[in-house]
Amino acid sequence: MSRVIEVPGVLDETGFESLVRELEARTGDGQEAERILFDARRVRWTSPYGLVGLLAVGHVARSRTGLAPSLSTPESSDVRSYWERMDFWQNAAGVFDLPSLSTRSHGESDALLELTPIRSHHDVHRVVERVRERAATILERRLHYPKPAVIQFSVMLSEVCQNILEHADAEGWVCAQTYHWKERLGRDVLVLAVMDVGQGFAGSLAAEHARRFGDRWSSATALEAAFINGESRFRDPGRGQGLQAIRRQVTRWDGEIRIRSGDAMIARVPEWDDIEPTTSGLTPFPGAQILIVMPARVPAATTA
Amino acid sequence: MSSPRRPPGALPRISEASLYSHLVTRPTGRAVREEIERELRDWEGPAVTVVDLRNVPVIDFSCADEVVAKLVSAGLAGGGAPGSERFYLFTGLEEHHLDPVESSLRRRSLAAAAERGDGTPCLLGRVEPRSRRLWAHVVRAGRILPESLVPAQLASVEEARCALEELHARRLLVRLAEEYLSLRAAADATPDGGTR
Repeated sequence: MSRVIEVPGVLDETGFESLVRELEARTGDGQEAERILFDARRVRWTSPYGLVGLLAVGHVARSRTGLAPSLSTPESSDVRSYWERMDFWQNAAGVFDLPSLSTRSHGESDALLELTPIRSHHDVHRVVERVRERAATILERRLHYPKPAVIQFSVMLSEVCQNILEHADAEGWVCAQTYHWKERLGRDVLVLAVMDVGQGFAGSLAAEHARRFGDRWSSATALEAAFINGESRFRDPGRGQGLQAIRRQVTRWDGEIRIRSGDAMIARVPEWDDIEPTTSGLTPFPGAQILIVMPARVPAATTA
Repeated sequence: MSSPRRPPGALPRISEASLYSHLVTRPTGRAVREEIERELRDWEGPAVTVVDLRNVPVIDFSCADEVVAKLVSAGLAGGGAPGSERFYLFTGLEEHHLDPVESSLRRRSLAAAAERGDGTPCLLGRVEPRSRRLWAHVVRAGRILPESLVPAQLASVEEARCALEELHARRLLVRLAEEYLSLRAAADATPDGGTR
């Protein structure tokens, strides 16, 4: 017997939340462990966040049930092609129970960074070196960012990936893609998604900071401590600056960053979006899920 | 102002560390720092190390903390015994190095002497404006005696000595007997009192 979770037609950050709720409903307390089938046949569109999110949800389903979940292939050839180009199937093979045909490789991708696992600092080096040439092309030509942005993006990528290694104690994934946000912004954007399924911010920071917060300690306060105040799980004052640096850089680019962890989310919200800067009461999910959106520059928004 | 006479104290040992490639992640930074420190491990006298970042295309915040901030910090702590001070001059800094380096120093309330890619000296990190001005004055002069600052810069020799000593204690100036040298002047100095 399998329990079926339908993957939303639009697999983005909203679709990810829906998947998390469905997973919780089917694997929550008191439920018998059964294999989960993720039915992705009707997926029409996938964002980088949704793609990494599906992998993360599959990973959690596997650890909760002890059984590798199944995943059906999308019917849309565009979606199938995108998943292939983003190396989804290669990474999914270790998470889902897949037919062997699904793990075929592809030619050169147009993504800034295909879905890449982050398990060690060597992976961070590989990722930074891998994006260098593509980032130069995409950031300068397509998003009209100044030359130094390529280096600043590399630094941001490095820090956000190291966040997985330093705080999650679990494996994570990263991917980045540029596309056109016709309805939401009317501009091209670069979307960077980074996720892990580890202990999350509350777990990582608890030993050092929970006592100070007492009953108020939660995923929301942990996120605030890390994202706003630069707190870290280490007493070393040199730690914790990575996330703050990312926030500063995203702000300079008029971008958006959201960090979801546990049952809360914190965000740097630009004027062009209207999400809440803090949200709590989300369906709990392990680890941390980070979304960074960098919009193409327009003359009026040009800053340093 | 600058003194032409040769400082009576011993010149520090000068070494150079040219860094290459992407300086990202803490383990990378740690390895680089340990390599630099290893070079000085058995040296008991004062030492100025010129750390050249010219060929570093990317340095992230974690690596800047491990290499720059922790070298400076160790120079203040472990290598701080009189006569065996450790000084670090960071050279070849480009625009993209500044934010990570500056930020990592500020997080630890440290400061470091540096030079931009074109050789322009700069002081990075947390330093009081008054000390910053004095440091710039010494850098322009190259080497200085406390009394040369009186009365134009400071009211008394004692006050001048205190102010210079504070910069020396933070390893932003080298002291040779009564004289204070910029790190560049110390790095370029020859045993006969001239410059390289």
